[in-house]
Amino acid sequence: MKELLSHSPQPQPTKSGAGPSDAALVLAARAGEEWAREALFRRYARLALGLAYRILPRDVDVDDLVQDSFLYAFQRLDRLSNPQAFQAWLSSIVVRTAGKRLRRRRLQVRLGMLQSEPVDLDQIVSRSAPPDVAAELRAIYGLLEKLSVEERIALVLRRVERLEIPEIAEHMGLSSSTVKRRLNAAEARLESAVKP
Amino acid sequence: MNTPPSRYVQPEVREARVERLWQNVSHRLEARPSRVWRWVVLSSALAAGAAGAVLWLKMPATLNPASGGGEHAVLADAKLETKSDELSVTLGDGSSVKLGSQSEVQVESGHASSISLHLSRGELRCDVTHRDSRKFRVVAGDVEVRVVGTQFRVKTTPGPSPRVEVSVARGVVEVVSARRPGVVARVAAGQSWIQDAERASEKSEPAAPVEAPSSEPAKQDAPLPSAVPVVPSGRELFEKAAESRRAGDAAAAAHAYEELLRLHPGDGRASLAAFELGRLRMDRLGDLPGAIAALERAVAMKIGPSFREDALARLVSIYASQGNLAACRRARDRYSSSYPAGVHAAAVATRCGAQ
Repeated sequence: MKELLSHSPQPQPTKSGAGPSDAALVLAARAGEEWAREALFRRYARLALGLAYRILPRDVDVDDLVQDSFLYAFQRLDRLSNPQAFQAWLSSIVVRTAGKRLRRRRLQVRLGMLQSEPVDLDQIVSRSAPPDVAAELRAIYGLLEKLSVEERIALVLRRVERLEIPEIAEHMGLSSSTVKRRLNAAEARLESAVKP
Repeated sequence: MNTPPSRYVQPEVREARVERLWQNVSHRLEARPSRVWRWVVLSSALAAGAAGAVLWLKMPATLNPASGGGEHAVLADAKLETKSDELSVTLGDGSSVKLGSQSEVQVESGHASSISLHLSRGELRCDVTHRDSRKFRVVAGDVEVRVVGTQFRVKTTPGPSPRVEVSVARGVVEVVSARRPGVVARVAAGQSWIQDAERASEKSEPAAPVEAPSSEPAKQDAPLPSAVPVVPSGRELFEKAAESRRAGDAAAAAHAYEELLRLHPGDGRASLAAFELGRLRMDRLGDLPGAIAALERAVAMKIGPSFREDALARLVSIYASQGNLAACRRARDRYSSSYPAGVHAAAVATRCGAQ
């Protein structure tokens, strides 16, 4: 990225070496600067891929989801009121786009246009995970397909991403009370699932 | 512990993957039509290539989206022809097609619900936006490519043995050739399909697979394999096996798993397929030697811990039932050393005769 940002008229890297701020990149991208969009993409592609994967743990879905999310974000940069908040804004776009995809996929499954594919828990959860964390993650991912879309996303954001209720509400575009209800339902299912 | 669990659920992200994604995003951003010309747009490449391109457009009056109706024409009855330059066209739904030099394509159907292109010569690259309600197909010679929502290339090669090549960079397409009636080849990302006139006329069954699909999409300019690879993907075979199992057809399910292991030994589902194949052979098909082979393969492929434990326990059971006590003890020791407190530990300890 340093090389990418070294050409005029791009801003020079900051003293910290972190490169231009998100706000500077967003403003440049809004002005139509391709390099700024690329810099934003490369800065947050891994974050978006990780978040998308944890919500939709299938690689084939993840790439499309991330592409669509960035495309949506770049086409609507003028709607971002705080340019420095690009990361959180992008995350919320990934979360909401994932929700749409999940709803569409479930509809396709119900209509017989798509087959529900089991998730390989051993592939999702890293082998380096401590046993208690691995067990919790396995329980969560083993349960996801049985939850509603909102319950599923809320559970992942809470138990895997460790977000607070207000953050989850913002990402999902729901009220905090709705998120709490979804989480309560999901947690109850999770509890009954892990009972011996 | 303050480490968030998300750290332990991470996709494998290589630089090549990020690069590929950026190329797709960048391309789609460039291809995005303006609001005024949302329904019919010729991209800037058209102007750039005007010197070498001839464009025939016979657009009907229904082109204007404001004219009403449920379907809006995109590019009806258009004929695109290039000489020395390439030509890019962006369709109303964001899909884009790029015509190579010395190429010609006719738009046979250009409605929002159905787009049909006929490539009469040369090369056509398509990046198709997936829409459930719209059919997108490309016809080249006697080959039909049905698009599911993808980025792919169709190339015709003239000569005494004309042939059509299809390579897919993203998504999936279905290819139907008139030379093989009733055979539909699904070509996934990273795979190529090549029509070989002589061989295609000799055989009527699906072509033999040649290569396992790559996890990365094929580079569009990469040389294509020289055979006729029509390879069902690992996912398709896994789904086929699951479907056969639900239908109670254990033999068909086992065959699908065998095909998956043969065609896609590096697929992420391969180890699970080997394990399931072992279970089927052991529990349903009575093929104990085959079950041993499959379960040993699953263990060697580093299947997930819970499956590995079950596979090892099953091996102990099979060897014991065969009276092969030496192999039984080896399998028992493998199990006991790996899972001293495993769920099968007590049962395994009693097998194979002397401790």
